[in-house]
Amino acid sequence: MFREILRTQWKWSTIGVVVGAVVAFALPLMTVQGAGTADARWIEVRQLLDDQRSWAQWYPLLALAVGLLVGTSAWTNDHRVRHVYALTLPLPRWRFVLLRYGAGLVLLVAPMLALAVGAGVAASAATVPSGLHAYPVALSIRFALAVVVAYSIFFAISSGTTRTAGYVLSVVGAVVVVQLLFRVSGGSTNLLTAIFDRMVTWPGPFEIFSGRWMLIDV
Amino acid sequence: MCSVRVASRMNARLPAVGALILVCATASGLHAQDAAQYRDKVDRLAARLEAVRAQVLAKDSIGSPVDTVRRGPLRLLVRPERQAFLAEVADITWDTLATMLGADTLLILGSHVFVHVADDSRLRLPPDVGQYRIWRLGEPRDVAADLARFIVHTIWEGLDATLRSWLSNPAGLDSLSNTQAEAVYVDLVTAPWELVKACRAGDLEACARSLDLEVADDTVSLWYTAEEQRRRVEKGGGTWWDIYNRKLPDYIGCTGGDDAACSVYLNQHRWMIGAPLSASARESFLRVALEVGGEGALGRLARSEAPATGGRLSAAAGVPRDSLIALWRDRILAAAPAQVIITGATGWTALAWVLVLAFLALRSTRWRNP
Repeated sequence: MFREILRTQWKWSTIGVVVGAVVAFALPLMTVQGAGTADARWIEVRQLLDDQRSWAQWYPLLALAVGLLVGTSAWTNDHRVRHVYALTLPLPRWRFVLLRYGAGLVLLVAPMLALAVGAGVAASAATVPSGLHAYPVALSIRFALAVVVAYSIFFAISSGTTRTAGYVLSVVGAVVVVQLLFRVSGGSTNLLTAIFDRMVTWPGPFEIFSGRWMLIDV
Repeated sequence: MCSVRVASRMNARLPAVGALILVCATASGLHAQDAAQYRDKVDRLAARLEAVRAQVLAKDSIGSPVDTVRRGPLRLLVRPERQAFLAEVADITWDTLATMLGADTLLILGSHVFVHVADDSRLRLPPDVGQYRIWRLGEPRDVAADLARFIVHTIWEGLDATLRSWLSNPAGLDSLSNTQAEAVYVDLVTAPWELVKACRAGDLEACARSLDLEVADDTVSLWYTAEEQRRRVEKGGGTWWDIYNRKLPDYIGCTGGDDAACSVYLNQHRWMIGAPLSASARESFLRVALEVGGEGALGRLARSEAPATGGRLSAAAGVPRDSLIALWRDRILAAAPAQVIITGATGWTALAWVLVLAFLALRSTRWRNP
């Protein structure tokens, strides 16, 4: 059963997985293009760190994109055929969802491994200036966790009903309306910023996406 | 605050926004002096202030009523409609300067007079009046920060050559921010020189040398080992003067293995190499010294007669040089940026969210209530 579900899910998310894996492999290699000599001057070191910082934003974005593609594609076909296939299976729903979730996780191993290999190759190929270090393992673990979190978020959202999506959107809309009312009444409370901060700082769900995503760092 | 009406014709075509900020001050002679000299200087400055103020106010070209906003020796001549805005600017600027300069405010803000004109290019000011233009009247805090920076820059220019050559142009003299400290941390941990490595390991004398706080004839040998000197000469930079210098005997001797020739060559070209730690590091040290010294620190710096910069900054901070270096080093090391490495809390929290989200997906009501 799992093999069948894995096969169908691979069929639906081939592009996402393959493109994600290729980009994940290439990204670390691209970030070390400017890595120069071991006894670089401070201005060269700063330039290298600035380059790393500018590339760093792409890692969490890639994790989000891969999670989004694989998470949503797991349910797209079921939604299209109104879940007839799933209902014909001799399985309780929770088990079916678990199989789908597990199949998605297996597919995500490809981009995770690709990034780990790319980071390893990049770290060994680059000449890291004295005082700086390469962090291929830490970066790979962080990326893997971020991909799984992103996948879980989009998988959970996609598995819900239209009504659930409506509830979620209503809550978001209500927060925006309350914020507007605060502003109109002259209040200084910034609800949206406060919520965003909570989401991206510990123990928020998006904390894994924040911080320094630098392959080469101090 | 006082209001001064300029006896002149009203010129309606002049822009509505116009402000003059006068800072009366002495920049000449910020060297050590006794109390009598100091009092004499203050008296002369006060008289000078009034004279310049009268000179500026007497200009017909101002052409419309002007109010004066006064905070200590800081004067802002402003159009009445902008008075409230620039009063706020004056408050913030004055707080910043007074904290930094303390009782020596009048001494430090010296005989130069700075005039700030806001978007009124037709104002003709006395020739000996320094001018600074506000291009955009945004937030009072931003304008005040710009103005304070300008004043501090001019104060720095009035200091003696030793300090100015040590740090040509500080971006500011306020407290060291975490971002600046983080940049210096990167400098401290990445500089490939033995002296900086020793400083990082806790050798305060090495820190003093790396920051160019000592006086010596052969500073290059104080900064770099013989091998490092040769490396610096060989790396050169490939610029036109480097290409020219390659023909010099000392260059040829150095690259041929003569250590003394390296030292001679680099001492002749010190401006090309500089101290092992960057100017940003030196500026961070200055900021820490002023922060530690608190009120009046810049005044003490200006009056100190110590031959080495380290001694002068120690006088400004009011603590021994090595204590100041230790404080600076601790501050910089504490600014180490968080690395990509994941803490246990982050990793376990991410996994907890994964479980929560997976559970929510399992609990969906889709099949029960499509």
